[in-house]
Amino acid sequence: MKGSRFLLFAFFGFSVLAFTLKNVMPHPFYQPKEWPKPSYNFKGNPLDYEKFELGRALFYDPILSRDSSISCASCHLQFTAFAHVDHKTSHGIEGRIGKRNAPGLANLAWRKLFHWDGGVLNLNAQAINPITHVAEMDMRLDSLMYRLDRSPIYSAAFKRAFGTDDIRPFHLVKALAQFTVALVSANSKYDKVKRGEEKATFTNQEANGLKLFTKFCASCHKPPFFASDDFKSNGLPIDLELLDFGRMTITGNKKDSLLFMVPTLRNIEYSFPYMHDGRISKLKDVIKHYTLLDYSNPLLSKELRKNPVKLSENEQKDLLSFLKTLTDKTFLFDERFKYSTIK
Amino acid sequence: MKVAFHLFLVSFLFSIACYGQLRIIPSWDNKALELEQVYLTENKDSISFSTLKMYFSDFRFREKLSGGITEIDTLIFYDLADSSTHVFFKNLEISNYDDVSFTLGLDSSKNVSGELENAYDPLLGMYWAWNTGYVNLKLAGKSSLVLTKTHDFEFHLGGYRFPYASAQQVQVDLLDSYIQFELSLLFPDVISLKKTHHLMVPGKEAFLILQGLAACFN
Ligand code: HEC
Ligand code: HEC
Repeated sequence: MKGSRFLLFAFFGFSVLAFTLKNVMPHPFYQPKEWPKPSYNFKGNPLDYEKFELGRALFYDPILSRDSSISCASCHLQFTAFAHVDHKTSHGIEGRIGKRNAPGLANLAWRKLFHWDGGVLNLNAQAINPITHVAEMDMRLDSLMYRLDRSPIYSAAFKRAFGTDDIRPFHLVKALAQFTVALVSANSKYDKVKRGEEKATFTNQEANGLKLFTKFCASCHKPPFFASDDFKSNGLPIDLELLDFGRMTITGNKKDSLLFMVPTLRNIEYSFPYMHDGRISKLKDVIKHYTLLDYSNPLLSKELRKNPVKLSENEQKDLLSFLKTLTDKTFLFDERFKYSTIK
Repeated sequence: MKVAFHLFLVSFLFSIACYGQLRIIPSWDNKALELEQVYLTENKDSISFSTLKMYFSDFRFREKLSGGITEIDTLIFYDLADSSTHVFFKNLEISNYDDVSFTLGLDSSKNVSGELENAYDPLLGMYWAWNTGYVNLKLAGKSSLVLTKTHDFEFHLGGYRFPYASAQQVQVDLLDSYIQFELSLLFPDVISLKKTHHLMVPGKEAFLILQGLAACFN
């Protein structure tokens, strides 16, 4: 009798503990001080730890692709800043090759436009793209809803997170966005120096690299994101096989021909290969690219035309060492973003 | 007396049935269009339809007596294959209004709202993933005018960016509680299937076809 009463108490106690834990676990998104307000509409998808965990499991689950072979993480790997390694352009199901290089995912909450051509205006809706794209996951949304409904694990998880018995695409993409919006990278050496943290100082080489960066690069790769929502040309000639005209594909405006988004340089050391089609594989060659540009090319954006990048061999090394201070190891190895399944 | 009562009853029930309903009726030669039915164009070419889906939004009803405007700024999805989408505004007394104007398709603010629920649900097959936004109208089928092996045609008509914002303003008189649009008017003047039988991108062509479609209403 006594034993069973103890069990009852223990059970009760654990339930209370589990309940409070669930509600106490903070959502990993945070707003770094000094940064502007995010553009993401948090009101439409309030931060919620349970939804985050669901989104995280979905991000790593190949259930989202037609033949259950690839997940979001197949192309967006944490250790490489959520970019695609080894491949110039992305690989989807059945080895189908896409047209573009998968960019790293970080600080998406502050972005207004997504994809190399800015064709996607909303982080939630973005996820529909890879899921339905024939060269990526090639999954029909209705079949996917059916698959999730029939999975005892997911139907219970969506019920817990959204209180729904009828899983719709908006539930799915909101859960995924709870995960992708959480990918905040703001703890690189650069950030620590900026915040004036103890022991955080630039070497002479890095400090000189920052000067050069500010002079030649920051007009487009704007801190603190080292990106911008503008579309520019950094002088890459068109690839005659891919025939990717970038921004013009979306706007239909000839002026936008061969303009691409200005990608973030955070964690750039790890997010190789580089550029929209992955044509440059080493970071030092990207720097070289800027020094070897034809600055009389009228298609080049004015930030570069008016301010040609001139760097000695040593300066190129300095700039490279500065770019490496944008590596955020806490982000790349954050346990909360690792592979996980629904518990 | 009894007959009069029955007449009264029938007309009463009829008016209840019609009360507050606006029905969209696509037609061919003034008869309600049916999917997979083979029709003949003016030049005696055969044509049949397998898909007709579209959006309507931003309704403005003009009242008979006061001339006042009742605005209903909602997004409505119509699918010929799904009769539950054919009738809407169940709580509006249509006979109180002279005319209605509306948008065929959705304007840019609706396109970019980020809303994905109800009429915006991507499951309806109208969401354009690579270029955030929605198709205003989908039309597909077969025709002898299409000179390929399968004779298939398919149009995804949309786009909200300048200068080809393709949603169209339409105004129709509300003589009845339905809005009719006559598809036979499209072929071959607006859509020349010999030249174009597949169109899935925004631009001038999509814009012109939707403009032609807007002229097919009543
Ligand atoms: C087959 C590889 C592949 C898969 C699988 C994949 N992506 Fe991507 N992802 C890409 C590519 C390529 C781009 C760039 C697309 C473009 O610019 O047209 C991209 C872009 C993105 C972006 C926008 C980033 C930016 O900076 O604009 C986000 C967010 C994203 N993916 C999230 C996801 C999510 C969530 C999933 C799973 C549902 C996923 N991806 C699955 C290859 C992939
Ligand atoms: C005119 C604006 C502009 C300036 C100035 C500029 N860039 Fe870029 N940068 C871009 C654009 C646009 C891209 C993407 C180009 C593409 O993929 O077609 C890019 C891509 C990159 C990439 C590849 C990122 C990735 O994830 O693939 C790196 C690295 C880079 N730039 C470094 C630099 C450095 C270093 C400088 C200064 C020497 C610099 N950029 C100056 C616009 C600019």
